[in-house]
This record gives sequence, structure tokens and C-alpha cells, in this order.
Amino acid sequence: MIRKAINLFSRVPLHVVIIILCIVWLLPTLGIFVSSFRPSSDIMSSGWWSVFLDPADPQNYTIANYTKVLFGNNIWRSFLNSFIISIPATLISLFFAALAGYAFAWLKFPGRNLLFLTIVGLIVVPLQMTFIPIIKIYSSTGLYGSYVGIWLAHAGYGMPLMIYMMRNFMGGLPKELFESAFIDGASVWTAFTRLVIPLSLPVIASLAIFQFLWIWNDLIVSLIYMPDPSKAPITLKIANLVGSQGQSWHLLLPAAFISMVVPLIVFFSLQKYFVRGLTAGAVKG
Amino acid sequence: MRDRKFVSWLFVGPALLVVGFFLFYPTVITTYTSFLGDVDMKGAFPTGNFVGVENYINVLTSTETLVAFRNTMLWLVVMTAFTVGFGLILAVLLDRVNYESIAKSVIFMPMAVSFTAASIIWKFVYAYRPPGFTQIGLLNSLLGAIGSFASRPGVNTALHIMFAIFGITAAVFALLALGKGLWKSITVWKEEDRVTWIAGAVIAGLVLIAAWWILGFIGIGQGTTPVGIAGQVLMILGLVSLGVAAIRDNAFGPPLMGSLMLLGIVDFMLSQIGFTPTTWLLERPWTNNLALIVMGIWVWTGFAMVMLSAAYKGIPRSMLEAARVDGANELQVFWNVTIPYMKTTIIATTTTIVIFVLKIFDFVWVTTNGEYGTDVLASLMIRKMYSFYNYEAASAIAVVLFVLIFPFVIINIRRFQSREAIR
Repeated sequence: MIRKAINLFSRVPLHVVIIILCIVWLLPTLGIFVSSFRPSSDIMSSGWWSVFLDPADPQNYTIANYTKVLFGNNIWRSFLNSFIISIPATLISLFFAALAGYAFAWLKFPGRNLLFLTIVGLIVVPLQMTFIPIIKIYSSTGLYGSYVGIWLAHAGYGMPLMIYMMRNFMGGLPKELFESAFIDGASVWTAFTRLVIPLSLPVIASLAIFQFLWIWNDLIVSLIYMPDPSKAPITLKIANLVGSQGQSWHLLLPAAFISMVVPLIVFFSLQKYFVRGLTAGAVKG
Repeated sequence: MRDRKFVSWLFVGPALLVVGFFLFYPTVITTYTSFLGDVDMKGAFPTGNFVGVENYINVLTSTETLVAFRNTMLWLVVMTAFTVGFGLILAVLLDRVNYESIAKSVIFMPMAVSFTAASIIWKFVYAYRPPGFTQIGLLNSLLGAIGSFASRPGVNTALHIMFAIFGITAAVFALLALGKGLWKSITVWKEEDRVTWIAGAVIAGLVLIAAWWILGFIGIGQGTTPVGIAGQVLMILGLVSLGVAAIRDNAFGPPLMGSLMLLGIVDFMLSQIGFTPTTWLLERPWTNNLALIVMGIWVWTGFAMVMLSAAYKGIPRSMLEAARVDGANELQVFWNVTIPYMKTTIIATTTTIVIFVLKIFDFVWVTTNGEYGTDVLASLMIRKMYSFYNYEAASAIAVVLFVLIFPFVIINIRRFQSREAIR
């Protein structure tokens, strides 16, 4: 009994440390969440934590900030743009990378190893290395400021890592499977669609989530290749809002929160895949 | 089976095209551009006259680049140390509680949101209003509250008494630990001989500083001389190592760490007396850069935690238990079993974070736009290109950044090759 009590007591510091760390990690996000629902005069005149003095008072809350930033600053449009940019770019890169991963794992062609090693090396190339030459080509071909241009750019930048992961996974599939399929007269393409794709769904799912969120959260690629504000994704829109309205917290906070909604939903519903993709792929771009 | 080669090229073709176009080709062209002067941006291909390494000389001798370089190094050291350190601590601690998965979600959550959103979240934490107004930023408000709490008469006296107690306790334990280490290193000369070396470094540092002071005093060599700086560096290194050696002592280490922590908290509370609101993102050179680095730590600790936690769970429980049964305390288990066992993962995590830190951009761009001496190499390059249209400098900086990252290209390839060899 006493021993148990001592044991419990000796664990108190452990819990204290963990809980303090969790609170420290949570407070900043909680701050913008609470503040984004407060009237703009309140945001500027008192700290967001003062809401908790009288949490039930409806006067403390408003959705005016959200309507204002969504429709007054056209955040809804950039929210939509983020989907328009992320989804096709993710699909293009998944498709190309699956094809290439399969070829690097199971098909034989001259220069295969050298090409693959080059791709592994290119995973960590800083994007800063690539912007100037590509902008030049983009602006002389009309891809500058177009969705196609941005889809391709994201696909290209994400490709080395995705090929690498696809190949590693697909290379682990049993060899006998392919041998018997080819004996049965299956073509390379049939083997790809009927065997490789269904068996590789776990890695494809992880990569899809990872790539989608990466593109959703990207700022730098859009900053460089999307000069047209009406096509800009939400991250770029927010970054510009900080530049022009740095002190308008009643606009910045809801905007930031809107941009976080999709990643947070993905994160909490698909945490397993997300963590798997991210831990494997964080070295990118 | 027929035409396999041709089919193979169809499969890798699209991927190779985009990789070649978006990564390989521009890497070559940017390197080439960095040796050109008066770059003409009209055509599809950069043209200009060859100027050799002039761009590099310009870039590497300009104050902005040096500041950006210094900041990148600061980011590298501070952020890597804290993310890996916190990640390690969390991996070990969270394994012992039954709400592990919730706590992990909380710590990992920032990794899901964009760095742009994270920048706004923290900009709001750092929000500043002039003294006299109600502070709306969490940090200024919290520190102000701590300051006024610590300055209350009763509290103030209590804090000073606690400060003295913890200070004396810490000093006693530190002396005991170091004395034990020194005694051991003299009598046994094997196990703890590092203490002697470190003590030697401190004494050498003291001697150098004394020499520097005497030289300055008699008029030879004023201001900062290499001797003086070397002395200070050696002194700091020695003191830090002495601290580490004392904390690592098995008997006196844990109470020393505990009293140091408490001392730190009390000292921190006392130091906030008379706190005036700070413009965290404007105070150069250290405050604003560290304020930015905190954002990076907040985001990336979750990553380190997840990686390291997986490795920690891979340690056979029987190994930890055996060490405990043999009489090792938790600290010994940590240093002698956990750390060696997790070495590979720790290195891999650190490498990943280092690569990422070198390319850090979004935080700086969104919060300060690189003003007030907060530029890092990655953001300076974008500024040169995007805001100043200085393509010569931009490509030279990009190449410098690439050179810093290049070792990791080799490491990646090596690591892949060794993994293939096993397979």
C-alpha cells in the first residue's frame, strides 16, 4: 500500500514534464483557434485566454472574421485553388513514379543502376538550385502562371523520392509472382496493372497522402511559379496577406486556420499512413 | 518478353523527363549561370559574359551573405540539437505512460500544418504591444505575469531563499561529482580520465585569457586578439564538458541535474522582474533568430520523436531489464544501453533534420521576410532573385547552398548501396 503510494508519487515528475510539454505544444495553436472566433476589437484589446474567464458568454464569439476573410479577401478562392493544384499534381506524380518504380525494380535496361543512383542523389537537391533556369523556360513557353506549369513542377520536385520509395517497396514483391505471370503470357503492362498496383496499395496510399499534404502546404513553388494572385493557393495568399496586413490579426488568424483544416482532417483520420509517409520522406525538397 | 527494352523506356520515360527537366537540367544551368555576369533573362536560356568566380567573391564577401550564413549555422546547431534532444526525451518518457498516443498526436500535429500557418501561429504568440497596453501575445503576457508575481515582497524573499538553497546544493553535488571523477582518474586512470583532460582545457583556457589580458594591459595587442578568442572558446568548451562530466556521474548526476533544473526555474522567475514587452522578431541578432528557430523546433520535434520512438520500442525489453537488475540506475541505462542501441536511428534522424534545416525558408519569408538580420541562405537566394532580380548573386548563393548539402547526396547514395548489398 505505502509502496504503491511511493511508486505513484515518484512518477509525478514524469507526468508533470510530459503534460507541461504537451501544453506548450498545444497552446500556440489553441491561441489562434480561440482568437479567430473573437470579435476583432477583442483580439486587439485583450489576450485570447481572457475568454476563459467567461467562456459561456456568446458575446465573446463571432464568425464575422471568417466570413470577412473568406469572401472579403477571397480566401475561399485560394482554398479551392489549393485543391486544383494539389490533386492533379499528386495524381500525376503518383502515376509517373509508379511506372518508374516498377521499371527500376523489375525491368532490365541499360544504365538502370546509374540512373537510379542519380535519382537517389537528386532527392536532397535544394529547390533554389532549379528556379532560375526553369522560370526562363516557363516564361518563354507560357507555362509561367499556369496550373499545368505548377502541376508539372510539383511532380518533378517530388519524383525522386517517390520513385525511390516505390522501387524499394515494389522490389520487395516476390519474384515468383512475376515469373509465373510472364509464363502465363502476361505483358509488362498487364503485370503492372493487375499485379504491381494492387499489391503496392499501402505504399501508394502513404505516398499519396504525403505528396498531397506536401503540395497543399507548399509555399515556395507557388511563390516562384504562380504570379497570378487569382490562381494562388492558400499558403501563398496568406503569406501575401502577412506582407500587406501584418497586424490585421482578425484576418490572418482565421485564414491560417482555414488553411489548416484540410491537413488536420487528413492527419487525424489517416494518421498511420501520414506518419509512415512523412518519416520515410521528410528529406525532400 | 519481346521488346522489353523499349517497353522499359516507356515506363521510366515520363519520370525521367520531369526529373531531368526540373532537377537535373536546372542544377547544371544554375551552376553555369553562377559564373556569368550581366545575365540576360529574356531568352529561354541564360546568357551573359563569363566572369569566373567574381559572383562568388561578391557574394561571399558581402555582409548579407555572411549574416545569412551565420544564421543558417545557428539554425543548424540550435534546431538540430533541440529537436533531436526533445525527441529522444519524449521517446523515452512517453513509453512509460498510458496516454502515449494522445501525447504523440499533440506533439506531432504541427508537422501536419504548413510552415506558413505555423509562422502565423507563432507570430501571434510573439505579438507585441507597447508597454502600458494589454499584451495580446502569449509570450509577452506570460513573462510579464511571471515578472510581477516574482516581484511581490513575500514571493520575492521566498525565491531568493530557494535560489540560495538550490545554488548551494547544485554546487555541492557538482563538486562531489567532479572530485570523484578527478580522484578516480588519478588513482585508476582509465575509467574517468576525460575529467582530467577537460580540467586541463579549462586551465589552458584560463591561462590563455590571462595571457591575453596581460598583453592588453601592457599595451601589446588591443581588443580581440586570436589568443584571447582561443582562450575564451577553450574555456567555454572546457566548462561545458565539465558540466556534462559532472551530470553524467552516476551517483551525483541525478540530484545535480534536479537541483540545476530547479535553480534554472527560480533564476528565470527572478530574472523576469521588471520585464518590459519585447519585440521578439525585431531584436537582432540573437533574440529574433532564436524566436524563429523556436518555430522550427515546435514543428520538427514531432518528427524526431516519431523516428526515435520507433527505434526505442525496438530495443529488446529484456536488455533494459537486465541492466536494471544488475543495479544500473535509469541514467546509466539511458547512456549505456539506450543511446548505443539507437545510434543508427539517431544519426539518420539528425541527418534528415540537418538537410531540412539547411533549406529552411518559409518561416523566415512569412514572419520577417529576411529583414532585421534574419535571412538564411535559402531565403536570401529567393530575395536576390525574386525581389532584387539579381540572378548572378542568386545562382551563386544557390550553388553555395548546394555545396553545403552535397555531402548528404553522397551519404544518401552510400546508404542506399549498402542496403542493396545486404539484400
